[in-house]
Amino acid sequence: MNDSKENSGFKSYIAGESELESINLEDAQKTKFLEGETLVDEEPNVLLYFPLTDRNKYLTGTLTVTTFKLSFVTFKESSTSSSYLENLLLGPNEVCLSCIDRIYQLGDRTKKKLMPGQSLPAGKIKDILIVCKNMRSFEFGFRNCGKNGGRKILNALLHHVYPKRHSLLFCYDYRQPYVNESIHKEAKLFRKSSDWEKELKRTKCQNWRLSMANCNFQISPLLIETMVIPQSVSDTIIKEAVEKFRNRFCPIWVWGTQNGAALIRMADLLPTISDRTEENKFLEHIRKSHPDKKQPRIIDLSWPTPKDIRISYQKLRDLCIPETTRSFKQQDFKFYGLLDGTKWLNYVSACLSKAVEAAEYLNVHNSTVVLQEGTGQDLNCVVSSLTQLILDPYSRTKFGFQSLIQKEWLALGHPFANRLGHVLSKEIEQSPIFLLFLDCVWQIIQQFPQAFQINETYLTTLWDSAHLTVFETFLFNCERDRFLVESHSPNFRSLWDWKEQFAEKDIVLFCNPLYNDGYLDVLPVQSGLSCLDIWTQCYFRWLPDLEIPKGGKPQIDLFSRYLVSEILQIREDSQTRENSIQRVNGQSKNNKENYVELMRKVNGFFPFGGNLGVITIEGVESVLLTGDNLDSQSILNFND
Amino acid sequence: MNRKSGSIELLDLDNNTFNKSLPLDGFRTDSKSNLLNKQDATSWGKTSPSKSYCSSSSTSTENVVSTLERKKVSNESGIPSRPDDPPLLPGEKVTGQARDVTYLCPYHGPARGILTVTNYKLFFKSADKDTPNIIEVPLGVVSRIEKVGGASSRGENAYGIEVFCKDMRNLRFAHKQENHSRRNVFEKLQTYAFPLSHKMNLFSFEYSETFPENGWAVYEPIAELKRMGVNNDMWKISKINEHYEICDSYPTVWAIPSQVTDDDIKAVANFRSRGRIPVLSWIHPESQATITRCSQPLVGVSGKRCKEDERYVQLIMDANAQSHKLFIMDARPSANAMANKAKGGGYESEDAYQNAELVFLDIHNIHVMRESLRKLKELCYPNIHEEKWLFGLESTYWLKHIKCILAGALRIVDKVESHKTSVLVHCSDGWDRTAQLTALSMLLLDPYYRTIKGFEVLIEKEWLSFGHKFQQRIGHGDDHHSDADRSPVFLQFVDCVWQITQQFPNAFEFNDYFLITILDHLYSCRFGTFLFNSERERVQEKVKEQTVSLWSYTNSNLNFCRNPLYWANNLQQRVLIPIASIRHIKLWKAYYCRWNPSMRTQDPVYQRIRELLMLKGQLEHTVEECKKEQQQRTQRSNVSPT
Repeated sequence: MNDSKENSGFKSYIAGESELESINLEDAQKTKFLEGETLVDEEPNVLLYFPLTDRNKYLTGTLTVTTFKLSFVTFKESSTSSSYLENLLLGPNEVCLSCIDRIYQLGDRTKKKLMPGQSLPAGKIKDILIVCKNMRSFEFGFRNCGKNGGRKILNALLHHVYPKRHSLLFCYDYRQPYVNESIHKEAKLFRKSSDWEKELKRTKCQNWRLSMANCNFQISPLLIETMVIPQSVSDTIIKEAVEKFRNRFCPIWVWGTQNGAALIRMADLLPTISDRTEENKFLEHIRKSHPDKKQPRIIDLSWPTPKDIRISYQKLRDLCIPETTRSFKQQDFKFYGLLDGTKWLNYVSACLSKAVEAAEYLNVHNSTVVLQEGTGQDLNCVVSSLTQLILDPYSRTKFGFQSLIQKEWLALGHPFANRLGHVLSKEIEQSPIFLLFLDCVWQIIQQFPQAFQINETYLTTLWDSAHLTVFETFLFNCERDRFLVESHSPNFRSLWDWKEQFAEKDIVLFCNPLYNDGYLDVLPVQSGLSCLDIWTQCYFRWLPDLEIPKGGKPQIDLFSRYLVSEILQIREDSQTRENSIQRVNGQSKNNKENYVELMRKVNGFFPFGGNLGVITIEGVESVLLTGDNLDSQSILNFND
Repeated sequence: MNRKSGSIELLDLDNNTFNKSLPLDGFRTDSKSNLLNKQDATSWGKTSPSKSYCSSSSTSTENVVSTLERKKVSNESGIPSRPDDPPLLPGEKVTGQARDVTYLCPYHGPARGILTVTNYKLFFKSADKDTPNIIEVPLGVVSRIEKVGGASSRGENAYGIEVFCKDMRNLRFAHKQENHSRRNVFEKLQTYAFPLSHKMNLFSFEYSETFPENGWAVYEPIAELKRMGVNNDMWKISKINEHYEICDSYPTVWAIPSQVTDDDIKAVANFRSRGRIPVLSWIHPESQATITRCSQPLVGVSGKRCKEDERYVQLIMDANAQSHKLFIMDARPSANAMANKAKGGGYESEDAYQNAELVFLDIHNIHVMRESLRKLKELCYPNIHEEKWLFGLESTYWLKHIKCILAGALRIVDKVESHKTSVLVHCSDGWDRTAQLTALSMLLLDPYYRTIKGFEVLIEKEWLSFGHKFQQRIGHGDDHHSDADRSPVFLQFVDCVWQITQQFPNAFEFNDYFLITILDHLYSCRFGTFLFNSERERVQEKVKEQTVSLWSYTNSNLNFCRNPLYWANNLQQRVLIPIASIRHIKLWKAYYCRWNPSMRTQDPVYQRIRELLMLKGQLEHTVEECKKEQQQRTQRSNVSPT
């Protein structure tokens, strides 16, 4: 490359002329539509403000609302050739409607949250703020639009972002035929009893059996049809037992060790039942299923509640979406105090320490662990999955991880539709419990960078994709709901089919080049707050000011990829026939030069951030190069 | 072996892996995980394509507990070494020993053993045969020693000594009253920890180890100026300070604007606090924009002016044809700069200095920083209250100060690099915050300083030669532990460097082990490098002749210091622009929390990459061997046709 100019690392700060070019709509790149996607409204001459420029720097383009997405396209070409992790379904400035959390109308000093059903305030709509569930935000300006431009867009958004019925989600309209169904061979979905049978065999856990008592979801609509229960429990007993538990979630086996310790999940007894006889009866069966007849260990997971987690997430998001440079600096000024106030890391720590505790009982004391929580389908999913990640190396592989999520989250009915807020309803409680889980996994990866076949880019993308209503995977509250609509929806597709979203070269970026499949079986995870960190890639990637130019973790990642490619090449060249020369971690030696090339170019949020083809800011001085404008003495008085 | 002895294992491992080529199965696979390690042993047996990627969980979980070398040295002094003696350095001798002492370990509980005091260190070894608890503290690290409990003390372990250290730890030893061992130990510790207070020499002057490399030759001021292209049209080398007569805290060799006369210099020196006139720190190889450093002008309440000083500053501006402006970066908060006027100091008024723009960088003084570190130590040692961690971190302000220094350096870099404008940096005396800022901006601007030797040059130049008062700030061998002149200024600089290495993991030739080594020997008094306050004092005390340089040690052990990710070729970015937002500033746990064995502070990523590099080396070696063998075979078959 002959871009030696770039080496200085600094952007040129040519005096900040905002964009004034007149936009000819003909020139504008048109929004691309998916099969079955229809236009709701479109508005030219809309401004998209850059984050942290106090609305002084913007792009002009066309804002479009469709039945699937909110889209902003500008005639400025994005350098698609060099961009990575380009989503095949969404452009760089597009977001799926289901990913939108809040819509605000902005005044000079005011910010008003808008909800469907409200009538919009009178007068011209000038600026709006869209806050997304994945920590992204968009600020649009309508000052160059017609009188009703902003109003029309807002009405369209309010109507389509918050559907009242599940059947209004885009996946029911998606017409693109689904052909690629070759992905599930290695990963288990845990929808059929054969997967559960294999899991029992794989873990070599004795004294448990499959029960089809819930065939056709007749005894418990929120569970799967196949349940693994103690051998001593007959179908009659289980039919009676489910009556006593909230969500009819009776104790169910999810994992075990070959020494006989099992991991069990269950809900609380119904609040109307005061004596715990039914629970104890079942626990006695569980005890008898242990080869040493050991008393199981019950771990209570009633804290934090989904509501705690939601409030915490909202506070965390405030730290990730500072609206003005001033609020950015104020946050920066007492960041760790504010982070403490969100309690997010406290909850991460709580989940991890519960999982460490469960793992220790299972592994060290060979004792069966029963996870118990209100409805059995929130924190139970988190802690149960984390426990297996700590103990079971298979769950840290690409397909193992996918199977784990299928089993713990989907088969056992984490109410995704409610928790992710796909449908608006007063009764449902939205809460990003899945994100809390992904954050916990990220923390473990930080502590054991060679233990996982997947990496943080995978986790971040998983969170993004959970809001894409093209895929059925995270769309339903339980297996029964999925089952009921599936037969009429031939175009339903799984999120695990990454090729639906990304090109092959991008899917490679989900693999961890440091992965070592001969690493520790049991991970000694540390769960104290002081051992945790903030997940920079996932939370800060939308703030260009925080992107380290040509630095950050991607340098390590790419260097490792380069190194692994070299090793593979040497192995291949030497023709030593030890084992089989596989394409470890999805690497191929041809990528070698590519990695070197990338190291020279990419920034700290790669493959997200400025690397995504989003046009970067020039002409405005970075918020970090100006003084703090805060009383310098206050650093001494603060918090005193 | 106990965790405490971690570092030396690490060193040995490094030694092996970098110097020898190992057979395929020759890796250490001793697993040692703290809990839940029942199944470890089985995992090694698995066959898998990447099995040979050498999994050593043990080293990856170890803290860099100490970078102090503990290899047994042959006893050159001729004193026969007794079985209970600790390993000694050349020149080190045992001065006192007490048996039946209990070390009150905050992590593993009390351990009984033998406490030895030498003229260099305190050494404790518990009697436990299998996993002896070993504590080793160079006495230079000790800031205060106190007796705990008196004759009337009851209860186990209530009577003893507490040692407070400069490196984020305190140690408590309990003595048996009836043994009467405490007095002797206490006196020996006092004497050898604070030799200056007892009219004795620092250990560096006794220490006699020799190394293949000579660290004193690392920095050659004229060679370094030549590397930057000085002399040139605009800058000249001046030896006017050859006898330290103009400024006793500056070096002998300066680079100054070529048109400046000796008389100008004298006038300017009178107008600048302690005669510290503006001199060149760094010059941009292309634009000729410069970083110069000085002390505050002696403006006072009356607003005094000095024509020569104004002209001098103008000459610095003129030396850079690219810009008609000069930035004066005053490291202090503006309120402090103003308050200094009352004491005769102050800052440049923009009226007097045409075309100069004054910027205050809001970095606080040494007292604020000392207090901040005190709080940080309270937070990190001995045990961490997890629940209060984030709030505690916030209330130390430590990261905020680090961020502020880094942000200041970035603003300098921005002016020099993207605006091609020269920057003059000062604070009050120009030897604390100024050194932090100039050294950090140079590190960001010039890849040379990001090599091991270049970093040594940077410290020698910006810190040592320009008179950062190491003696005062650290208080080597002095028992005035509450001296108001002590402050962790240099530690903050190293912390900032670490922050940058975190943001640019492959831009530095050295690793954090190197940085920790520097900090350990900042206090240890084993080497002469960080002794005294100025070049003048070091020359007077014949430091170069009579002591060993820290760089002799590091440069003879380069393999420990190397960053496996360093990519020393044309991929190198010239300028680094770290993000000076607290959102990217982290606590350097591998340093501040390293005494806590439950803190896993060794970076496992680096460990893994080393393993991969080893594997690569190993494979290359195997391929070589195969080729050779094949060649030999073909030769043999050619020789013997039958």
